[in-house]
Amino acid sequence: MADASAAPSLLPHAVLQDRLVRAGGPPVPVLPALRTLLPGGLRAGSVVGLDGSGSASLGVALVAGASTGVDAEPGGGTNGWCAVVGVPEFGVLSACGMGADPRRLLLVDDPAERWPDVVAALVEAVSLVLVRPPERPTPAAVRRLTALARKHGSVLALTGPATQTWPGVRLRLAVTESRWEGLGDGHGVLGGRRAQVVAHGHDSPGAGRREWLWLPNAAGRIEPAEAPRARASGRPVLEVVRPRRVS
Amino acid sequence: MSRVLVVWCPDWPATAVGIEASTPGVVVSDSRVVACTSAARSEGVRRGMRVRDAQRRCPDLLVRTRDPDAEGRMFLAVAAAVSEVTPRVEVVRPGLCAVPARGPATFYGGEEAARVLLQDAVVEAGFDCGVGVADGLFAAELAARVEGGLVVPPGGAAAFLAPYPMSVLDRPELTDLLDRLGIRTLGAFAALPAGHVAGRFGADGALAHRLARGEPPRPVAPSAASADLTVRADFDPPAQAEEVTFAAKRLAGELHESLAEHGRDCVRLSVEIGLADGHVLQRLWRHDGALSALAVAERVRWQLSAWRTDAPGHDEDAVWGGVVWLELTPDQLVPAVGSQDALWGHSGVDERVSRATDRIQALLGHGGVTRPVLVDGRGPGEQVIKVPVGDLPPGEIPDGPWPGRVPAPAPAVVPPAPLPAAVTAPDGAEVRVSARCAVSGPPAHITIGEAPPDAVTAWTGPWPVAERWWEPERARRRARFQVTTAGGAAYLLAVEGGRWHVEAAYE
Repeated sequence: MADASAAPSLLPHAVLQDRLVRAGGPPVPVLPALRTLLPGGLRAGSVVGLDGSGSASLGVALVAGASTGVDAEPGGGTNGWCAVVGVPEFGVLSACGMGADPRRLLLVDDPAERWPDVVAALVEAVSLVLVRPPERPTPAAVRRLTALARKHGSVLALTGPATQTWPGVRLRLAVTESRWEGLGDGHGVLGGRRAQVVAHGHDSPGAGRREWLWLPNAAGRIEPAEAPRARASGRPVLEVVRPRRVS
Repeated sequence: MSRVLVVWCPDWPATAVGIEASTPGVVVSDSRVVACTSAARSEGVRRGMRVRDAQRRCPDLLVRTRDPDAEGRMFLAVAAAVSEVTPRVEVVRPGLCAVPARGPATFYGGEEAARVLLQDAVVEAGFDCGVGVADGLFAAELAARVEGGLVVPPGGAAAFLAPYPMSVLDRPELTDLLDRLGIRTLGAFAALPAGHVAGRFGADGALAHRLARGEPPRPVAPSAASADLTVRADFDPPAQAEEVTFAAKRLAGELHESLAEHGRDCVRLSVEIGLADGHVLQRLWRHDGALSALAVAERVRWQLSAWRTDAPGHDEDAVWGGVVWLELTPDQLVPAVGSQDALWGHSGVDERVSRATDRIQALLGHGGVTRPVLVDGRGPGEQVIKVPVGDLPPGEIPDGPWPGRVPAPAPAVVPPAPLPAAVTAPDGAEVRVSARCAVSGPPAHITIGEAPPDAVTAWTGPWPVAERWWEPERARRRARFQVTTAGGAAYLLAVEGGRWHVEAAYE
């Protein structure tokens, strides 16, 4: 921003906008159901870690969030493009079910040892890069990619074992409890999953929050869910409802 | 008016995939017949027919999928045979090439002599063909398609074209409309006043009208400015085919920009490739619209791969050695008549993204970065096709209905290849599914790969799927199950031929 004020009349609009974006930039949007967990979206230039079981669904959900609802705010750092690097099993169909636009999705299935260069190229261009780094990324690659993400205002979402050791992860998302519904003993159809998602980390808007979500629901979308009650009898609990006044 | 000699290979898509003309065979794209052999034609098979209908007319029909790359590559062999007889061969499209007729006609003593000589040269090279001579490319192509080919005398193009139906113009909308107006032949169309045709049907209609009258579609602009529009890339160290194709894409983009600045379109492009051993591969490519950057890159790839496969009796790498330079020269310029790109561009890829994907393709190769295309299908893996960035999605997208489709929600983990698994009943025996979909016992434990067994808490299935049962070698019979485990995971399993696989995980 300081540079921008030094010679304001010489800078074309595009350059100014570019600087503005790099100096912080608009946050990368998330799906509506995740907004209570991550108010305001993902901070531009941050690194997000996805841990444990359920990390695949969370990764899909972050990609879906970043690639939807972009038409309302053109330009800037959030152009709505997402890239998935080194995750050949990424569920494209699932992401589209949650609302992702497949036309704004790039997949690099097998970057092998060139993954730092691939991620570096993508971080400059897209809003969110979901990447599974190899077991032990070199410190130089980690520093370079973290710095590039900050500079270009895009979000680096990490999955896989290296997430634990990657320094500078400000926000971690994990599924702590989950239960699939819809299946019986030889009958039924997988309907959806109630999952408790926890956001922890320091210095992040959503630190320490936990929410019950349908991840996903029977239609493949993500919605807020009620915490499952302990079902001792297996029978729904009757509730007293307020009589509705008819005017 | 320039005399043009055209070499036309009949049913080229069929020849390119290796179907002999004497066996009934078709080449299909999008489950429609795009080309058929003469044997198939005599059985009543026609272009544009559905494969099903074609098979009904000719039950022992050989069916192959279209392979445009092979078409381009193999046709260069024909072009080489033609250039033995006369230089300056322009490849119009795979299956059709043109030569200015004046040179060979004076050299070989008449147009008919040159025509017969060329025909013999191509037939000797092993390809069936027809050769025709006429005023302009359009009439010459039709002359080549006449049985054995013929020479249309100078000035006789209009009379030669007059009895042809409108459909040869390959403009279905225009043909349909004129047909309803009672105009069914080129002669009748040519008799309409040119001004009225242009007023009613626009630039494209006027172009078609010029063709019907036996005139060139657009007057070639004799322009001296073509030299400075040449674009060139040098490679140091010598580059391999893939890298050259990228460079071609970029060069073609530059060429288009400079052509657009000059308000010109290019109808013929000369591609020259300089090899490390001093060879220069030169080819002319003709196209009536502007060749897109991708189409140019494709032609460069054809040219290179044809060279490598044709280099006779040599070790591939030793002779080839790599490409040192690549030059694209727009060869014939015409005034641009304004074919507007779509408002948002063709690809919808923004500039930063296309820069990034170019870099990744340079690192990992053309197929390194893909874009997903959603198609219809049953399993979660079948509903997504990954298309390399810059390529067009495949034309043949199967359509439904899809009985036995796996219902929503879609799984978040779809391994590229199904993982082998073992599913056992409470008594420890492997769960089997009979041909009548009876399950030998409820699934109790599931073992995926090397992982320790996980207890199954709930399951459903089997959902039988029988695919392509009409085609024995591609037929598949599967039964799908959904299970949830004590570990909190949910899987989509499939059993096929007694083996269990994890098709996807709802992680």
